Amino acid sequence: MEFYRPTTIEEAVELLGRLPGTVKVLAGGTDLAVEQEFLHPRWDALVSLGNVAGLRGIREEGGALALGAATTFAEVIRSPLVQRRARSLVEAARTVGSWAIQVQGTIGGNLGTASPAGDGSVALLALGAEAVLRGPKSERRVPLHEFFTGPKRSVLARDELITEVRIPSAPAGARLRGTFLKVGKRQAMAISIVCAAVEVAQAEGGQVLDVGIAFGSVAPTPLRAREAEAMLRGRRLTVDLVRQAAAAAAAETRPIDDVRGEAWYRREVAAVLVERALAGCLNGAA
Amino acid sequence: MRRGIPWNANFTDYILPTTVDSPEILTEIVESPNAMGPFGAKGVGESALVPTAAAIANAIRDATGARVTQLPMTADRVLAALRTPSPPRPHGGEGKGEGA
Repeated sequence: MEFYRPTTIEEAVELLGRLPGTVKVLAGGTDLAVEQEFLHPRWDALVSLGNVAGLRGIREEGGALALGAATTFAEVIRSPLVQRRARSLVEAARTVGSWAIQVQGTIGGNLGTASPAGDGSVALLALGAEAVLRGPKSERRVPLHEFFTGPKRSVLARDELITEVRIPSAPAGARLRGTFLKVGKRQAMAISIVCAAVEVAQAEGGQVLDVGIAFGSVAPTPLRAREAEAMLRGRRLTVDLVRQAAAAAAAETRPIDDVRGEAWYRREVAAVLVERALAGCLNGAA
Repeated sequence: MRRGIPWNANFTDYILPTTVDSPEILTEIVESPNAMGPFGAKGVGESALVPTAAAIANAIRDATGARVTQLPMTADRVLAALRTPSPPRPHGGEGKGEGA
């Protein structure tokens, strides 16, 4: 297996396009290490991003938030910018693995792995984020609801690198509330049985200006509950509306039975998580 | 275990409770000398393990009315048991005859 340490994004992308066989991109390595340990795969090349400039950093761009793909979950948790704009991402980052994983694992890596249970991915989906993909000749921006195509599958091409994740600006003057809730087989270091990210932007009077509800582990990919969101946009939240929206969101899920849980339970808990997440917005307080 | 094959053959899949999962464990030593042990000593580890699952199952039954009969007694199993009509408590609630 060959090991490469490019120093620029261009160099990295060139390698991805040129190297034959199975080429893996190494950022934090938290998913790769597990894959190697359990599957003993044959990799022909590892392209390390450790020395590549331009993949880190969190900055504001006209209200939108741009995060380098190699931003670690620990950096997400500590960032005042993310805490203000994308609370659900901060909370999701806190539930990823353990502290040791959080200081290594990256949001770009989480997207690249494309697990339907990816906590960071679910929060970013609820935030309406897009991924910036750099190819050899061009760059494209893919909204996350179009990024995932199946369990551990995405539109990321072989010769493309995720360089940035962009969270759009919130409606002007809105009060934002973001929550991430996760149920697993234990309180830490657990892949979710079901998780939910809910982001709400409310006007001064409490009307919902925008809302994002996304689930993990209830479908082949992270899932947005569009119909439930539509029920809430433009409305003021009441206990009944929240309950209805939670039920609608759960009805949109397509869970399966697997080693971690059964479909019926996932669907039930999905509704509970959405109801809990929205309950905090009932009095309009941020 | 399924058909004699362990399905959680590593600690990544066989997940143990972490410090944030464990409840506070209060220990009470029962001083009851064992005539067969040296100086009356008795093993504490193995004996304490035997009734624990049953005690927890009975506590769940007492608190919720639900009888869980599978281990581990996870949240989904408790929820399913809460929805399943449980056999009525025996007269006096003494626990005699509670086999279901």
